[in-house]
Amino acid sequence: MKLEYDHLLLRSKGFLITVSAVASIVILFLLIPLAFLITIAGWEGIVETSASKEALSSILLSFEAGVIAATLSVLFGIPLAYILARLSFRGKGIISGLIDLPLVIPHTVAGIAILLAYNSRGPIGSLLGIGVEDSLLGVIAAMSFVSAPFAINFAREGFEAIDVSLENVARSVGANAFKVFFTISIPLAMRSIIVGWLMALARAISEVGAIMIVAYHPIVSSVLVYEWFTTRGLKAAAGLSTLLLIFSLLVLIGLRALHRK
Amino acid sequence: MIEIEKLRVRAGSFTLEVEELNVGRGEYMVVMGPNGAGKTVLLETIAGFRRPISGKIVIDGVDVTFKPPEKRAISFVPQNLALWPHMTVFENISYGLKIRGIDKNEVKRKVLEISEIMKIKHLLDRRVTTLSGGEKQKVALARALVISPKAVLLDEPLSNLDKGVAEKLKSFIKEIRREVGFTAIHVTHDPIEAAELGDRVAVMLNGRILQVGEPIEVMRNPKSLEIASLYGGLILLKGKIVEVNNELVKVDINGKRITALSKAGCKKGGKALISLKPEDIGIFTEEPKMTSLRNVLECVIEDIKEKGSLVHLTLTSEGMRLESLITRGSFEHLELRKGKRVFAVFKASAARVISYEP
Repeated sequence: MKLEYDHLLLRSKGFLITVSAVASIVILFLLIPLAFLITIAGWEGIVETSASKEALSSILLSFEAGVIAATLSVLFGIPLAYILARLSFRGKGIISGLIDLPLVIPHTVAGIAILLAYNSRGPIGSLLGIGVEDSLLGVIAAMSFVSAPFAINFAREGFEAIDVSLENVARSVGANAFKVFFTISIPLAMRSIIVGWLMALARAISEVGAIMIVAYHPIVSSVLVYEWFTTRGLKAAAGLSTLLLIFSLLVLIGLRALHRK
Repeated sequence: MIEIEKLRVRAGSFTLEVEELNVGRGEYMVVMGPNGAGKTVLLETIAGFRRPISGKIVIDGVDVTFKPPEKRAISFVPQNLALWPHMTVFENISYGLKIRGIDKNEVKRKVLEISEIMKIKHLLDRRVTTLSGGEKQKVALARALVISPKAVLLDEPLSNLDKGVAEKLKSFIKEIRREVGFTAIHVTHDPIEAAELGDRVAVMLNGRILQVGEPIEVMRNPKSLEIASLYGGLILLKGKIVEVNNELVKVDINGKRITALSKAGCKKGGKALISLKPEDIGIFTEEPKMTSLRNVLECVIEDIKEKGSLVHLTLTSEGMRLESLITRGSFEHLELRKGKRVFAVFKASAARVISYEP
């Protein structure tokens, strides 16, 4: 229930006008480039691109690999997020900083690091018999590297918001630590975990730099946009970009609607 | 049932040190003390949420000092109740049963049974976030009791409720006890609550338990000034009900008759515990007219303490100890001194039956 006084600030005319003016500038700044993109692509360009098998399969691959990367980030990120939310220990600040590192380093740097660490001739790759170079695995690895911080940080915030007594009481009525984690902690943090997954997915799909270095092929849409831009020119790249834009928007809106249910 | 020995627990800079505390089967033990006395730390240690540095906690003959909470069969009801917001009332109550792998129909039967007793059957499908304070308290209690724990730990269960609701819940807890019969350790800062509910009270101050005994005994014979001050002069009187008349009862206390406000369920012949506050007791030097709404007791002034603009009198009346707070003005006007015979007067409505045993 919204209370009347919730809106007291925005009822002041001067304040409302100032806030709206600044807000409009931000919206315009974000929308104008998109408008240019769509205009240059043109209706025919968009239709033509949607008929291109290469374009469609790259978009599909982006989403596939993105979903896998976001899901892996969430699954493997949750235990770490829980530890960071509940424990205070020496070096916690350093670990938190390390988690955020992928957000600040150039993604080409991240790509080089991944390639060096997990290529098929490296110690880890040869031990496990896998390699990231030019493979779907590489795409997923690069995407996971850049999207994990979102999955971890959102899950952590979710866990932090749960009062410890909610977990403790479950123990006292007979549940062991694992049961409490899966029946109390995870469900209560679910909203944040899902938002984290969405953010990780969004970040994964939009990744270019790391993927290009690790696994140019199989080609994902973000890399294909770059390729078309350099080989086929601005109009073709704009067409693919617009198509990717429409897809991303549809998926995000759809997921949010699902989430709200 | 619950035996605590030489328990030392550290919580931040605070240290809890309990030399000994024993709670019998079916006993309702109230741990009473001011904020920061360490009552919650004690409960959390018994529940298994905190590890002691040293000492022992034995439940039903089994040393549980280092057992995890789920292996103790002790239900903890924290002050914030900790109802799970993502579950319905039914799901909250049934959680402890389901986790034990009990058959679905049996779970349902047990939840219905306890909800019937708790009078919350109509709430079972509700989300806990939509409940009132009193309802939440009952759901938390039902969730704790449904698993038939060896004991229930209650952390200030009445402190967040409106006065009226708290009063009702107090009677309710006693009723439930009669029906289900559980062992409890109940933490409070309120001496009246302790007297009303507790079979015994353990007074706690600065992380130590200083005195354990029947509430009326502890109140009458506090071992130290600190303990006495916790009662703030509260007077507890115990006697036999000789007459019940609508809202009033006449209670015989060592041959003296007192008229007091009744409590639901009071019957002639039963024992009643009556509470009275010193500020409600007036002093007369000549015998005033006695009415059915007024109590008059002839007393002797035992002690006089001056407290700023007020004067605190300790009075005795044939084995009964009373205290009175009067203004300095009336103290001087009445020319009171130690040993003087006076009449203590208080309204029937100032004396309240807080506990009743048939």
